[in-house]
Amino acid sequence: MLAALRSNKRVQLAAGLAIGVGFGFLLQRGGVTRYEVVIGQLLLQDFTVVKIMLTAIVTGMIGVHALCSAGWATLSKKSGSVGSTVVGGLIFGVGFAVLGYCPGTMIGAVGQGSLDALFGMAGMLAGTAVYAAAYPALSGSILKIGDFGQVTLPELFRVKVWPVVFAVGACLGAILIAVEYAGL
Amino acid sequence: MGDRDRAAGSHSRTWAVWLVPAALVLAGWAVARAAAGPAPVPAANQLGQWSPYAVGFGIGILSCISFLISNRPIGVSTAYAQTSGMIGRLVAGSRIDRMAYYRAVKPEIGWEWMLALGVLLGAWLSAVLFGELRVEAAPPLWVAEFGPGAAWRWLAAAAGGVLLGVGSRWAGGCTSGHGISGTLQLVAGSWLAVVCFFVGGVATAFMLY
Repeated sequence: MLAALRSNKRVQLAAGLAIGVGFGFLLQRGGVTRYEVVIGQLLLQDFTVVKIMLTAIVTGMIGVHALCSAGWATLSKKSGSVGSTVVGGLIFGVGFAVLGYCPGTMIGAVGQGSLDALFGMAGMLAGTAVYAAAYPALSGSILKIGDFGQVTLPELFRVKVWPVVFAVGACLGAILIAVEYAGL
Repeated sequence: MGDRDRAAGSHSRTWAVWLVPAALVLAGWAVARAAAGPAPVPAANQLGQWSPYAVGFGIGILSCISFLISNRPIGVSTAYAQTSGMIGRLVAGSRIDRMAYYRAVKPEIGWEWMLALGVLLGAWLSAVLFGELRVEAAPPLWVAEFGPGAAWRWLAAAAGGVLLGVGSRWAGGCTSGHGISGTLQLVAGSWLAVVCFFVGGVATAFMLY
């Protein structure tokens, strides 16, 4: 049944849309489609973004690994390298602070009427086009530096998956409790 | 290769599926406790916001639904690459389809594109239902910090957007694809990416404000 569902293109496009509606609804309800909330997080004054992300990670981590253990899903891992992940991540971070939205929350910001996010979207489209043009040069050079592939934390530490799930869950839970106690 | 190596990263525990209802009950209890506790005085921009724990829990459940129905992680930045390719095709024709990057990321209305469209509709729906839909040229914090000229904000937003576009494609994902979906799959590179997002973001924010 899952295979039939997954191979039906129209069902999949509808599923993508429905999941997106839920995601956008939650982002707006959480306040992270607001510039003030994102900048507040980057200035370490308002920890809404971190609270949402860590709670989502713990919930999704347990659920998705359970689905994988049951054989109902497979992980979809991105490969990385120092040259791609670190350099790209830092460029992203600068843009994150200058814009005050991230790629998903700025779409949500447009949905709530924030016109500045439209300019952010236009800029981001231009940015991806620039990257696509530069990609042949980058892929043969900087993106290859320090390649570590699709390695996961359990593979890296050569342990089974579930102990890592519990350990990471406990760490993130402790961080959330610490953030609450600090009154952030 | 010893047993430990073969076992590393394996998913062989069927019993683990029972962790889903267990986690649901636990998280529900935590949310109820948080809701029952003394509510802190909300800041001006937090009126009407839902608890970040409830929202995060919901996004985690959505990630599970996405894996179950589509066997895909939630990630938004791919949609921008699909869209820029489709716009490029209008301008430059089929030359776009021969570019190495657009051979890897097909410029088409795919799953990720529908996801992004859904985010727009979902946020709009939420804003309408909770009375937060209002057209705003520049955010109040920007106006307070840099003055009322919306054009400057638009210029800065576009510049920030260019950096997000380059950076997200360079790193292979954004706050959703790496920050939530990659990290929850325990992908080492995604944890590294999200640390870099915040290191770059926090450093820049402290310089700007």
